[in-house]
Amino acid sequence: MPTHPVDVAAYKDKVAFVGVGTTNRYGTIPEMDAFGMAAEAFRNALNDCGLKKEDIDGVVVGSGTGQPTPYDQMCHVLGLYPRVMLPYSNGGRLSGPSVVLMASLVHSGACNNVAFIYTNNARTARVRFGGEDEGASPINPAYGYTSPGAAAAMHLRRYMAYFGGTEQELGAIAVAERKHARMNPMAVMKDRPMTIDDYMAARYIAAPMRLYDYCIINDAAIVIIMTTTERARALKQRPIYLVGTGQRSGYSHYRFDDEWTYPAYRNVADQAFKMAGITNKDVDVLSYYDAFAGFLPFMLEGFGFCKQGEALKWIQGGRIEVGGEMPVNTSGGHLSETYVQGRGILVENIRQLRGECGQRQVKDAAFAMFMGVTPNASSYILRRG
Amino acid sequence: MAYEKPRPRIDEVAQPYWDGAKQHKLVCQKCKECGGMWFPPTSVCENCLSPNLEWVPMSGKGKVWSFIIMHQLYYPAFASDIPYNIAVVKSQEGPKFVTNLVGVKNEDIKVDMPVEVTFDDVDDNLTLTKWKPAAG
Repeated sequence: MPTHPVDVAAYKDKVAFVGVGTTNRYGTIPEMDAFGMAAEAFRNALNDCGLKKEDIDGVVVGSGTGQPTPYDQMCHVLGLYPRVMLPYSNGGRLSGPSVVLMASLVHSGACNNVAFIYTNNARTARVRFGGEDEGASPINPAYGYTSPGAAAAMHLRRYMAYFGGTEQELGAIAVAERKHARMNPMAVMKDRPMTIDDYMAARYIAAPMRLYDYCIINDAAIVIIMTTTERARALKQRPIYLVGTGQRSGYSHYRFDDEWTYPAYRNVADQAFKMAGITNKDVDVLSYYDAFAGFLPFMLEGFGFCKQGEALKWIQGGRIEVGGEMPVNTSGGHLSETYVQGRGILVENIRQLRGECGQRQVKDAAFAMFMGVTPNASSYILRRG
Repeated sequence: MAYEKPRPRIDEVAQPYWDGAKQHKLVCQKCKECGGMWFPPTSVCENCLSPNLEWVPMSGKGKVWSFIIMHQLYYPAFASDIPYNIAVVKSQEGPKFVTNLVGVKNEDIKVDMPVEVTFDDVDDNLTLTKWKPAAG
């Protein structure tokens, strides 16, 4: 581990999210290509904050997992000629770090208003997320070992063998997120109630993980706009300030961590909480990168929301549901709202702090925190303006 | 019948591992500078960055670090194996190996159970290292 601490607190309170826009719906969007989806989300984001497209002088284009969207082509399609124009790799693990990138760009003065444009038509493109040639692992396919979920299941099995916990207890995560989705008109699964019995009756994918422990795959685009606090105050929406961040690399899917990824998450949490000047108890809205429900126990423990080995017990009884002590992924997350590699969760965190979440609104939400998955363990903390 | 499952991609770095398997020997890279060991094969020691590496014989003993039972069909050639186990074995020497366990029913696999290496000659050109419950 790096031994010198860094002080990224320079941009604390100095930058704010001011605009969010999404496609008008999530799900299967066969009538538009990935660029058309991005354009819809971009129009909505501009309308949300009141900026004109000419005001956007920083553009970061995230790759989705479906149709490729080269950054230069994206800017041409949207008629954008910004100062800063960057590509950003896909991988939801990079969604936390992308917040740091946006903050660095506007706080440094490299640009005034930065838009992160992310679009993904993995559903229409029929991406399978398993069974392909595993570029990073020349050996695993020979043993039928493939898919990101299998790696999550591998770590979860060992966790359950050491700390106990049942598959039914794990189900509390998918059930909670589905309840949230039922209160979210945009959620892909809004009309699909799910009980713990439904969860247990679903087939295994890579045991111990079942179907509903996996994210859905759908089409969606999301655009998020950030600027400096000074400019943010002149715009339409209540600014949502970035007050804490942390990053630390941990194991990759191709290595296996004897320490439950705990040191990486612990270190990230320490950075983010210290910068924000708050503790776990101050967090009103908690979120995590939920490609798979099996990530959450490791994160809850590393981030200090419960003791090591106790997460599966801790999440029972509605604690992580809206109305509970620590609501987690209030939109329904990737499991039940929309698969957009972390950006939908960022939108939800911003909207919760704006108070726009209707039935699923967490009362008086002031702080929202995100826990991002290894190998890019990361976190951001947002504060209501 | 031809072996149709995915084959490991064997480059010059990994070649000695698969050559060893063909001779029914489990070998692993070791750094001549710092003694570090790791798997899968790479061209440099991940600890000290030395390129000065050797291949050394392994005890072939280890424990199941973790395992999953795969129910989803990703590779068509695995269709008749579903549900099949995939395990990570932590060798006595430290490096971990992704593998399939043989000689044990899926429901009898346990984390930390002792295992030993075995060799599956799938065709004339490829021997896969697999692991089975340790004798005794």
